[in-house]
Amino acid sequence: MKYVIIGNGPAGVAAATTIRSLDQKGDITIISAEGYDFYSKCLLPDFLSGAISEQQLFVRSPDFYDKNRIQLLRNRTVTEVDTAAKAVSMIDSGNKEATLYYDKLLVASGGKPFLPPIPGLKESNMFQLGTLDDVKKLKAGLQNAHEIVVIGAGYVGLEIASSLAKLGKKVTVVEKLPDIVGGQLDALASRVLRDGLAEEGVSLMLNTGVTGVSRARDIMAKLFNKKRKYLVALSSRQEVTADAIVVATGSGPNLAFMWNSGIRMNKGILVNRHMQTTVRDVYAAGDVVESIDAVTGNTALSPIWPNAVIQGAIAGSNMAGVPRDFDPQISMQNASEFRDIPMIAMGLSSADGPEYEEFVDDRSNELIYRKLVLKDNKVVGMIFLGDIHNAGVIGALMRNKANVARFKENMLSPSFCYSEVGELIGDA
Amino acid sequence: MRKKTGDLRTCTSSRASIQEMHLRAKELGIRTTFDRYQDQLPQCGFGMEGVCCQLCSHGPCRITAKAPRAICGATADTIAARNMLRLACHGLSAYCHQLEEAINTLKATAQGKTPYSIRAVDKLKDMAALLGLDTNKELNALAVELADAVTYELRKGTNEPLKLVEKLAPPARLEKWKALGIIPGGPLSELRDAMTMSMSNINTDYVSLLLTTMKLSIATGYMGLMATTNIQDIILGNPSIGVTEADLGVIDTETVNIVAHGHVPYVGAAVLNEIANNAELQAEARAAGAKGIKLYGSMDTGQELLQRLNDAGQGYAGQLGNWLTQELMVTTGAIDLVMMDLNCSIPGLKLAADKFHTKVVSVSHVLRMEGVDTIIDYEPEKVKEQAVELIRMAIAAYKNRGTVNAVHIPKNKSTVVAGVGIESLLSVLGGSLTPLLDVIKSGAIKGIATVVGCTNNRNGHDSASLRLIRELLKKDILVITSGCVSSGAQIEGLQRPEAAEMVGDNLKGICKALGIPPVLNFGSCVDIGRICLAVTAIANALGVDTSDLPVAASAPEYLEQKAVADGFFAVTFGLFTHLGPVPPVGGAPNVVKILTQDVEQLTGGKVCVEQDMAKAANLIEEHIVRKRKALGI
Amino acid sequence: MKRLYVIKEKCNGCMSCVVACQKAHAHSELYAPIRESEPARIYIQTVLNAPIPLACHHCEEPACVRACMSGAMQKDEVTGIVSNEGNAQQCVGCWMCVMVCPYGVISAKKDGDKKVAVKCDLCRHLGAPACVDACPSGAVVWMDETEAKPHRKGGIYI
Repeated sequence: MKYVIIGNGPAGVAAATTIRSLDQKGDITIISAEGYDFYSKCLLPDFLSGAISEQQLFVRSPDFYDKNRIQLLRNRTVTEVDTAAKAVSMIDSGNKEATLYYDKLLVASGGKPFLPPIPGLKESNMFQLGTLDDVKKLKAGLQNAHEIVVIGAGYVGLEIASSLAKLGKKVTVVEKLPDIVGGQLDALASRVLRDGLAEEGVSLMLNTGVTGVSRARDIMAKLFNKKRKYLVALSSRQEVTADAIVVATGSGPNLAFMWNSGIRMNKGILVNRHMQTTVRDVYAAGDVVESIDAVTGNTALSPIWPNAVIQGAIAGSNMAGVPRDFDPQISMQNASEFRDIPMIAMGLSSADGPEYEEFVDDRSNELIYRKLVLKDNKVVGMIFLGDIHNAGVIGALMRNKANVARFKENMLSPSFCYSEVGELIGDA
Repeated sequence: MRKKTGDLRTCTSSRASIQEMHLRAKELGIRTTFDRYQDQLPQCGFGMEGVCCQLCSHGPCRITAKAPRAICGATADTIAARNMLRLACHGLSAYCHQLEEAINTLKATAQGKTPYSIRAVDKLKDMAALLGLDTNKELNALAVELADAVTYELRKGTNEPLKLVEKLAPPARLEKWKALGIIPGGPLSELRDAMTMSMSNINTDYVSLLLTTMKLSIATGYMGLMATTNIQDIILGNPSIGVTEADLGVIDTETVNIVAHGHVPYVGAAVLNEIANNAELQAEARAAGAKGIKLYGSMDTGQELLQRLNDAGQGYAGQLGNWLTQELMVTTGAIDLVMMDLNCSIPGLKLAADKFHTKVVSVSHVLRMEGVDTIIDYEPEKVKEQAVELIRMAIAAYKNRGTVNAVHIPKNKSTVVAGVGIESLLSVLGGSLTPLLDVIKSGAIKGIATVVGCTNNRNGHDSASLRLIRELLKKDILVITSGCVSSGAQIEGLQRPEAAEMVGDNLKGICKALGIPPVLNFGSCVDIGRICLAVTAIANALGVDTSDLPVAASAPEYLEQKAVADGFFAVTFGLFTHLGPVPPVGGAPNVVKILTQDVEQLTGGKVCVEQDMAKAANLIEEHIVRKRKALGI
Repeated sequence: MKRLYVIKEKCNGCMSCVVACQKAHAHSELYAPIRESEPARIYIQTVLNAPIPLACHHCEEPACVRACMSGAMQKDEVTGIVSNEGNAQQCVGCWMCVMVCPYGVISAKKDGDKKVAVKCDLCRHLGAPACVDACPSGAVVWMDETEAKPHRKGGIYI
């Protein structure tokens, strides 16, 4: 049996590991567009800030591929998938073409950062955060940069901004939306995170788009051949000078090579409960997939590590011939720590209508804010800020669509715990 | 969309005003007893069951299946009984303190050095007669002699039996106590011996320890409770029927507001006297922008004043609440000064006051609190000047009201009929107990339950006691309250004649006929003495022992050590005694058996622990019905 | 394989297990429980007035291991212990494990200038969990999986 996996991220690696545990004999090949062993993209901001070393990015032991007898093809970009011929075409870094045939294929090619179509941006001293190479470039580029503009105030943009400010840089974050982290938090939660940001060296400009990037008209710099700055023009008609620009406007599924495959796709690849696509023997997992959301019941992208691992493992099991269903997960969920405030958010951030209930524990003066959103006595959203204890218990109740009427008034109390609701959560 | 603030189960109070203030406290970052109770959970089972001993440095020892004896060899029974005795010692000693303060006040009053006067002349003479004094003496001279005689009683040796016990206890009861060898001598000497016994390795026999606790409880009953109540009546006036209001809604936003909080009413009475008579202070208050000056009560100090609305309590502005609500009364932001006396002032009170302009003052030399540096310890001879100083302090504080946090007062308040005592009850009944005895004999009133004691968050603030009271009323059982339970009943509106509508048909008829509320307020926790005197009077009138009566006692939310001494007294006095919170003896099987079963053969009373108040009411009813049957009524 | 189990009814809330856990993991033994410099990895929660111990179940398919994006949280294939300590990869405090743990038994601890996740490691360094030894009531027990199996009432409860 020939297993081919496109993508060396959490979904691909989880699939490969699962396949190997079920099928000792099959050939497993992972195709990676990058030149590295499996590393954690979530750790890139920590690597950028210097909190961890490059070595620590690699989250499996160096003998992981050998031990599991997985062949890793590095620096290969997949160009096409031919599901009729069961063939994957790719090119290497020298543009040399090659084709690989599969019995079972997993598409787990992950996400790709958006590059907003801003005039002059591409040509500027611009950095993206998609890969380790991107971040290495950024790290090097930052040496001589003092003023930095970050476009996008999502979790990643803010995290980068905060760590750059700690390194003494002058940072401006520009965000098109009226608030940070685009809808994953409510107004109060994002205010708690925003308050005091300016004193830490990060100025935040909300409701502001970037209209263009150009070279600064700095005669002195031109005359004395000094490095010229960039001018970032804003929708507010202001201009911000920058030595470097970091683009953190989010990412989308990386599946340009799939458009001719005949596999049904929406925003992402559509799969069934076995993570199988609309074409036999082709599976998909991770950021490229649209899966059922446990909260809404609709399909949605779910670009988050824990879900990618679960999907990869389920896909791997089914590919290896051991049928296993994917239990819907919460698509919209995130854990993070920003400015020493831990936070976990899942599902809806606010009530959407009169049929909803909200429970709030507002200790925002102590940097603690917790909120639950309920509908028909089921939890459909939560924000835990500052105190994240029990977030997973709430998450399990959300996933299981548990009726919480009996104890809903106690869910934010310190006494609330698994032992009170164990029968609704079950065993793991 | 319904939006609710978290921690909704934290505040267990049955009172809407307290729920409202608890939310406000939360917003202001004030943590209260309710919140700290949650912080303390879980509470250690060894402590809860009374099988943890920390007396010596070999300890702490705790009794488990693996270690059934402490290092010294003590059993769970020894440890639990010894700890009960120590708790009862604390209770009696606090009552002795209060009695001594009463004695000093009586003496200074007789010498014309206080703003009080001898108001209950009959009671002075009765008490003097009990102690063998010549009652024909001039009143003030007699009062001084009485003060000295009670002081002697308080301090005499353990070998001299207490006179009040011998004179006041029903004869049959006295015989039982003599047989058990538990007639106490002077309480201070008894305390000395009891504290000595309960040291490591002195008295380790749980039966002897429990008998000693019973002996102390008799001293508590006749000296700590009855003598104190009587002397307070002599100088502040007998209870007399009056009407006032209760709950936080009584707080006036336009006046300088002082709260008397604790157990001892002298300073409060002196402040009321100045408010009524000192025009200069009134002018100062008006100059500060206030309409006037008001004194409110909290806990038992308030109960003492509202029992005497026609005497020392004149001008009293209303009862704000009980033990569990002290922080939340301050959280209204409209209290300018809190006077704290004797026990039950919690450190949290100061923490809450710090969020406002509220001044917290100790008015008792035994009370000190971290952060409270304003101290005006009550001295009978100086109390008039002390009251003036306190009012001036309150006026000064009033000027800062609203500068730290704003004023927010809940709307809730209810009418209270207070002032029941033996004298006022007799006058309502036309001078004789017969009408009451008749309706008990006829069965229209099935019996009497005295629901007394503290408030406790364990089974819900006021909710346990109110639930029990309502259940008892449904069963045509007349309820008498005192202590913190009274505040709960008052705020619930159960101490209004109209409350008769909520009770059983028979009891409703009686209440309407006699014009009394179904829940009679007997006052503060010291007034348990008053209740015991009333029960004694009924027993004597029927020619039976107290344990034969269709009467039961309950402390559904008992909390502190005075209540332990009271509870032991109720059992020793021959009453079926229900407790809500489980006392720390559960891990000691023999102690449990003695207190809940065996003691009944000795005194006729026993302990019944039941946390479900509906079940507790059934148990009380069963007991009352059994007693009625035995009496043939 | 031996595992940690809890007999709910036997717990009397004395917190001995909590203190023992803190001591077993604290670098300086004295006062660590009081100062709470070392968080406990076993919890006593009060549910309807009854104390109930709660600790990691060391799941067959641990959600925390799947969710760990730093590679620190691992399940030892031999002992079955799930832990983020003592591995080559280090915890960075991303709280993914806290987000996905359905038992709520992972908490945060300050470790120098960074924060890391902490959870029960069955006292790997001691050979057996300290809480079991410390429990005077027999509520927290250390017994063989096969022996416990017929009594299991969900989670670690038997």
